[in-house]
Amino acid sequence: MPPDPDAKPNFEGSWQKDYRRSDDVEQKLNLTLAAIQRQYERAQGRSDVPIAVGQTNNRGTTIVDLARFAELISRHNDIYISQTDDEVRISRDGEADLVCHTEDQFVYSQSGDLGSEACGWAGDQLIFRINLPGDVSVLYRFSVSDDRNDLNLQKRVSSGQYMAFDLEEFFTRYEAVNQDYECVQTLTRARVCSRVGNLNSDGSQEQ
Amino acid sequence: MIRSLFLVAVFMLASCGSAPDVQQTQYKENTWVALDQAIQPPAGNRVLDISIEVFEVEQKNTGPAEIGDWIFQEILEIESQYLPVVLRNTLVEANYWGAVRVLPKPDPSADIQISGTIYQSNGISLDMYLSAVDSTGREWLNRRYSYRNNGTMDREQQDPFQSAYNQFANDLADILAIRSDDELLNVRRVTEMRYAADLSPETFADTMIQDENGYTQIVRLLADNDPMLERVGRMRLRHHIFIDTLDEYYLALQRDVKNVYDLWRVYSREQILDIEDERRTESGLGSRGFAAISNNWYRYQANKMFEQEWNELAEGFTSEVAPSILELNRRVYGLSGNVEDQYDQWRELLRQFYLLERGE
Repeated sequence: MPPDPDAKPNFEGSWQKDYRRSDDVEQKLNLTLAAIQRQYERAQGRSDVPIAVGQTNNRGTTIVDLARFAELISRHNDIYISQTDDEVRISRDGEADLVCHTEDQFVYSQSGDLGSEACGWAGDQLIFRINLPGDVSVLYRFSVSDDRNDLNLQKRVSSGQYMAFDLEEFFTRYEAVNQDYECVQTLTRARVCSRVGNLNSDGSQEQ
Repeated sequence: MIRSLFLVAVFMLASCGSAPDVQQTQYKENTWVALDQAIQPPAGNRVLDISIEVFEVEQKNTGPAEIGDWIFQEILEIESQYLPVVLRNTLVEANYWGAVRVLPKPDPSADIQISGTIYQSNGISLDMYLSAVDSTGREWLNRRYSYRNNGTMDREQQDPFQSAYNQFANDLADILAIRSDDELLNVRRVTEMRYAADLSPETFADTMIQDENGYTQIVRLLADNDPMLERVGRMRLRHHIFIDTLDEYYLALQRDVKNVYDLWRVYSREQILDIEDERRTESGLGSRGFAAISNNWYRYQANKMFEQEWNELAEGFTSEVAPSILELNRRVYGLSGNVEDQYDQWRELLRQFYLLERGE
């Protein structure tokens, strides 16, 4: 049967960061600074130039601030993703889950005056955008390789219209323990988990 | 344990996405309102039967969707069946009334029909609109009851908003007290004929008219030993047996979910108080340098984590009470569908019985 062209890629699984292939923040910052410097030198005298190295934008933010921030939000070693037809949930230790209830359109949600979040599919990429006060935003683009062994995460933190810092991370899939359990949150008994499938007569788990 | 998880998550909270805004409605502090109880049960024509329809839920449309909104809607739906039972039990305890039942729909055999709308219900506030109308169409009560739980109630013993129910019961009893015996007799007569007309409109519809105020009045009284009325009486008895059964189901539902619901409200109250505390201390930060950006990030993350914990808790609540709801909706006496459908099917069956008894 030919593959369904509308089928969304499957991100489900446990993913471990591949540091060898992922950007190193310090190196990336140096490259970014050099690129900005070149761009600045070429465009000197023009009014629409981006921010120069070390220069702040009108919000008092420098590219180094954004790089440090990108590093701060990229410290996870592991990512756990669960996926159903209408929800993708991306869990990382110490941070709120990125949850997207979506079919095709972008979904927007507001968290009071602390920020807002939008998510949705752009082709085979799953995108989240978090807007923070002060016109700072974080854009995540998740994509998965055809063989589902590699997860690519492109992250962009930006301040205002012209200042942005990009970071690319790679993750490889691994089999986590306790995959055979289904858990449900209860009020009176906290989290209750049960094994998926029946036990065979010899006590082994039926798949 | 869950509580401690929340405390870890609640770092510089400023708002909870799905937690209702408790500042818009004027709430009464939950000072204790004692229930006015009759020493003697009512007698003669002063015995009125009450039917409480499952409450409605005010649909909120407050801008962009929040993740997890559906689960709170689900809890409100459960509360729409739970809160009427608390009100029912309060009215029974007040001892001023005949039968008091919770039913999925308005009941034509009831002398007084109570309906309610829940605007807000959580651990800290209850805001509901309640109305009571007698069978003639005359409104007895139409009032909003908004109470705030100040935490002084004994959670193990009493509903934290028992004062709201007591206040309503007292208000209703006050109106009963000023109604004359003749007025109440008229209500009972209209109820009887309205039920008869519900069974067989072609036979009984012309016994009543609507007066200039829109109230139903009897224009043709049937003799007490009228055979048609006797048949209606037998049907009404069967109907009461059925609606007593339905009422029992709602009672069982309330008993089943009470413990977990009480726990939910305790958590809910503590969380909302946390949010209110954080709102008071909150101060905005622009983007500026790394410190300001990371501060904003932590605040956003903490808020988001809190929302997600809250949603999980809410899911825990609904998953634990789901079996009780399922039981309520199971097939009864060969009727099918949910409890509302069964109620309709039963009324249709009684109409057919009635026609059969009449030999049609």
